[in-house]
Amino acid sequence: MSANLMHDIEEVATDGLLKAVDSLLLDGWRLIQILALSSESGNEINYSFGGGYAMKTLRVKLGPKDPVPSITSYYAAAAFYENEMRDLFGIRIERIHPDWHGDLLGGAKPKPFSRVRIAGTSVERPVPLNAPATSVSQSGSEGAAAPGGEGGSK
Amino acid sequence: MARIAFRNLFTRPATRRYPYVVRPSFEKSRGRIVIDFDACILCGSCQRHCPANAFEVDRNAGRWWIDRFRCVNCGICVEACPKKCLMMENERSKSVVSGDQAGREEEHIRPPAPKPQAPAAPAQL
Amino acid sequence: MSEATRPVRGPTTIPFGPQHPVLPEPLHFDLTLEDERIVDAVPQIGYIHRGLEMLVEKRDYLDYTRVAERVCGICSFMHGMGYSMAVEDMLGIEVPDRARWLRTFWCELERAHSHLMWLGLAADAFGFENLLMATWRAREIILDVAEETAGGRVIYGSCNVGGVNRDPDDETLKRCAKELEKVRAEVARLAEVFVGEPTVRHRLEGVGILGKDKAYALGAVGPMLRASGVDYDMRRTGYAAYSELSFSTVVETAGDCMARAKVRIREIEESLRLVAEVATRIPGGPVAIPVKAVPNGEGWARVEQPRGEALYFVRAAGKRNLERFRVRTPTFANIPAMVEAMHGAELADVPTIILTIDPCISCTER
Repeated sequence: MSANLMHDIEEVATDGLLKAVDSLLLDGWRLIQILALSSESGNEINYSFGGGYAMKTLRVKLGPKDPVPSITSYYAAAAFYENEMRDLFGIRIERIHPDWHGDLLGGAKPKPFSRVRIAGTSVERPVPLNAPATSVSQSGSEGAAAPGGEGGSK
Repeated sequence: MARIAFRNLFTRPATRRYPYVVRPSFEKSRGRIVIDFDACILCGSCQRHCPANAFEVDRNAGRWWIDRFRCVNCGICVEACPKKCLMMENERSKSVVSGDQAGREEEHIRPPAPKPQAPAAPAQL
Repeated sequence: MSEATRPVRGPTTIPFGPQHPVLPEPLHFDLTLEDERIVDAVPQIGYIHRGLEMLVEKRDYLDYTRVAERVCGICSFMHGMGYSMAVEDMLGIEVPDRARWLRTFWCELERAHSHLMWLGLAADAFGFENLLMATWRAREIILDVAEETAGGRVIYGSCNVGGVNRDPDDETLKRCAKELEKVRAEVARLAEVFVGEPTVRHRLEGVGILGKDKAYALGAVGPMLRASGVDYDMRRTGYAAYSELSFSTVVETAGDCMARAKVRIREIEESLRLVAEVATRIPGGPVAIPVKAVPNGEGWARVEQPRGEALYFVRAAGKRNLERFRVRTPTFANIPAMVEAMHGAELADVPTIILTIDPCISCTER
């Protein structure tokens, strides 16, 4: 990345998110991406906005079950990112408009990318295709023959 | 467009009559992986680095195996091999008829040397 | 008329895709129609989700460049390059000069071949197969140049973290630039067909109009945005060797499918001119620096792909496998704009509108 790309990263709390997004909208920034990360202790969402060639990112850190409000009332394009994030990571996002209720991706496994460990439950991870023979196979019989992680038990 | 179509009547076709006419590959095209097995030390670097899991290397059994259909011709194994015994040809793998595994896989086995025995008791004279 | 035979009036819902004769990518829409006009379109993606972002946790970060390239076939070099740039940003590495120029060479080659392929597919979408074949015949020369310099026709496999792994010599580059002159001549002839032929104009003009403010606010990128009058091209930020090259961004104002086709045609000419310039001005020197550090932290990169701006993000936590890799591809950013452009269009124009964003669904659903 060259030096003349300006990029600001700012941490905000969940309650301050909508206010920060509102002020960015009034200043003419547009939404570039919403990125979610998952770790054992919780999730993290990065909202990136662009104005000209500069970029500003708001970072929100969430606990395992914390909800976050949707920004689709400010940015209509956020609907795609938020639906995808909710389907893949299981993050609770409130009042997405339009909400496709899991139809956007239509996956068989719920929240396949989530790594959040909630006490008392086990973390389900998809089995990689062609996993080497030394790994423990979840289906028990043919190893990782089934694509897409169908070997995991529900 | 009529001019282009008219010109097409008098120029030769843009397609080749494969498999009777085969296009020669360029010198540095990516193609299938071949091994000089005598130099291989069965370290397993190629297996660890392959993004497509195309190798199986077993040091104890002395076995090196590649599945050419999983190989994506990326060349990481060639760069990763410490003995430089893997090479990339400039022709891609050929298609095989189903059931013919020889074109698809390649396996080399070098059984490990037997362990030296303890010296036998001297023969009675 | 009894109750049972009275015709039902109201909107009809038609499922469109993922299998469709003119749809080049597996995308599904639930189109709500009233009398041939689209009222609403609900998209559904995920038919070729391969989970490549999760694979980053299982592959060494240097090997993952090859996986990142295979996110998409047509923009593959720029995916590998964007990933390498993000990792280099995280590790704080500067790539040698010749590597930067070689990356530019291959980027522009890829842009030219991608746009030529799009021209052919657009022609096929409204039924003009002869034009598809003529465009793709011109594209063959570009693919041969790519195979000679990089090793692969479509997936180049030549970008690494820290540089490139092929070093074609200067004579080869100059000779290839001369071969590409033929492509320029052919593209000029084909452009006349696209812009001048009445049947093509009837299918493309006035279709899928998107205004300037709406396109910007919905997050459109690439030729979709430039055809609506906004001058926005990530190459202006000067990554790779673009800060040392002078090029013009192509902007049109009409905002319809014809404007987007014109933007792409002029971008092909601009790209081929840039390739010739790179071949003459490229400096010498090494093409890669060895990278052995263990990655830690995060890195961002923004690249102008043929379809628009792509944003790359990597994060690592001290192991050789990265923790997270994310590509926000241009097609994903263009989908809201495309859905907006579909409102009010006729059903027969839906494939053309879907094609004008140059969809690459394998990028969108990696």
